[in-house]
Amino acid sequence: MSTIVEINSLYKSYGSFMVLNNLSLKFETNKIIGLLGPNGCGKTTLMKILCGLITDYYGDVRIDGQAPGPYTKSIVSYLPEKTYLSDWMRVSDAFDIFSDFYSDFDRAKACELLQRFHLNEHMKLKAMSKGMQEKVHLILAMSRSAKLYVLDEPLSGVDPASRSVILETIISNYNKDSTVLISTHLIYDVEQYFDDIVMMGFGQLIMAGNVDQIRQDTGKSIDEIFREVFRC
Amino acid sequence: MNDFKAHIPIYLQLINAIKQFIVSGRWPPGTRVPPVRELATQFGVNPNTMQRALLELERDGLIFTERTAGRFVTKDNDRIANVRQELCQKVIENAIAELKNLGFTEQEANLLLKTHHSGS
Amino acid sequence: MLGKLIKHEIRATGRIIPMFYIAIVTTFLTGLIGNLIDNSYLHGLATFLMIISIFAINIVTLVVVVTRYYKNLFGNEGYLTGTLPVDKSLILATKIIVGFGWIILSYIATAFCTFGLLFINNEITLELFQQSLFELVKTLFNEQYVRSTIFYFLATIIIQTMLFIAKIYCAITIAHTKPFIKHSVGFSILWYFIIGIIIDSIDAILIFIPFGINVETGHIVTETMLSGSGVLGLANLVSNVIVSIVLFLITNSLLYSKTSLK
Repeated sequence: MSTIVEINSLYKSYGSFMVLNNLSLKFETNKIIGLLGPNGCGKTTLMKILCGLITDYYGDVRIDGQAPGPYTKSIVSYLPEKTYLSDWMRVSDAFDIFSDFYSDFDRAKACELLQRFHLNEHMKLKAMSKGMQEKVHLILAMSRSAKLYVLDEPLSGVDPASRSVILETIISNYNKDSTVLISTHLIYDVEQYFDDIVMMGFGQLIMAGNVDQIRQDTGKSIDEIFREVFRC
Repeated sequence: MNDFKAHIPIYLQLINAIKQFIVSGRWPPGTRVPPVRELATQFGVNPNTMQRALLELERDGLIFTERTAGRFVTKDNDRIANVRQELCQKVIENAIAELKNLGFTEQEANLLLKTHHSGS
Repeated sequence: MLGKLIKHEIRATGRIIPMFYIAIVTTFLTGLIGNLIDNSYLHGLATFLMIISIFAINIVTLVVVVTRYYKNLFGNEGYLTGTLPVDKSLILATKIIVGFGWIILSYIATAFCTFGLLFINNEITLELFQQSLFELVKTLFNEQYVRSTIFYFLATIIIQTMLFIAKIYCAITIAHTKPFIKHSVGFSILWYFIIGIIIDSIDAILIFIPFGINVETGHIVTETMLSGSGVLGLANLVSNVIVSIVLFLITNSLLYSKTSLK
């Protein structure tokens, strides 16, 4: 068990608003970690920093020992909330890009996943529903053998049936020695999939630990704890 | 899609579920246990949690690992019978506790259990 | 990596523009056919379309290059571009190279349209064209002033195009930094003009710098364009090169470190 992500005293502000306030965290390998917290608590900002999209911060962030840059981008697989593929693309065009730039992209696996979702390579993104597009993005992210998968709300806006399929896809396709970081609002349905959770609020770390350990210590589920902490 | 009770550690609930499979004969003695990832997907849990449950079951002697072949349900029928007894005890205790919640005494509860016929 | 980036950049930007090239060639052929079979309708149509094409190809190329930079770096596509495992400088270089390429191609297309227009309307014939070309090549070898002028002309086109791209990319990038990102479209335009005014002001002063090329002798001289003896000022060209480089450096340093996605 080694550390894949190490964050020390991370500060990030947008103008006068402090989105991340002295955050220190560690993520270990071979874990599925839930990143939980209300909207605006800094989850997406944290993920963007890990993926190298935001470099304007104070503090120390290390992924596999290195600061965010081209190397870390090659070992981090990101699924943002927004769809990032151009409308005119076919699925095969997206596969071409990933094959060209990511040496860990497994095109065969991607095609297999496509089939499982009843999609095919020649479809144009323009002609797909939002749900289908999101599945394509998920397939792209999960067909890479990354050391760190960063999935931003992969389950919101998805119907319950698709949710299970997505979770199954995540579980059965992530690389054995890697870490999966999932941010979500849907704690109740999903907490049994997490090894550990990190709960954030108001830019700070509220709680972090192993799900079963927390249940044992507190006698409550993560969902219940969340409701207590963030009760209005 | 959450069949798990909220406040009990999941791995404990998994251990219980698998014990039931074994004592009920759904997983007969000597059956091959599916690989962790497959089981985890089946139950809808984290593979590490499933792994933890399986390790506990190994420690309890209900499952054993054959180095290259994988995991198997024990062939020790006495062991299985013991576990079935344990689980049975718990079920009965729970039933009595619930009857007591309805206002019956310990004796009345016991009598009800003994004289119960389904469909009456 | 740069090669792959360029390949995909061309794939993404080359979906509309080549259609216009095909349209131009088709229009030209239509005009030729019109002349051949003496059909004044086709002739007129071709002439009209050729004129329109000149505007169209330049506008379309400009729109493609500018919107590509804007959307691919700072729109939703930015989530992909910004997480590719490449140095950000390579991404910027790709945009510069491919943007420059398309704009130069649009100049060539414009020249072709102009030639085609003249040709269709019998202002020039193939004979005349061959003759002029022959003359041009001859004078190129013999007359210094032709060489100097053509060199100056080509250098100006290339440098001005580079400067144009530098101004646009820099303006769009600045418009996506913290203070301006809320109204990035408006500020892109505003900053483009601000940068333009600064550069024009510098250029105005530089006319007075005695550093030019004498068209007669082809030598570099220390005279200004205003000295009236056939001198073309080089100071502006040099300063534009320097300014372009400075703008690119500013863009590169702001990119991703001070900019955000929308």
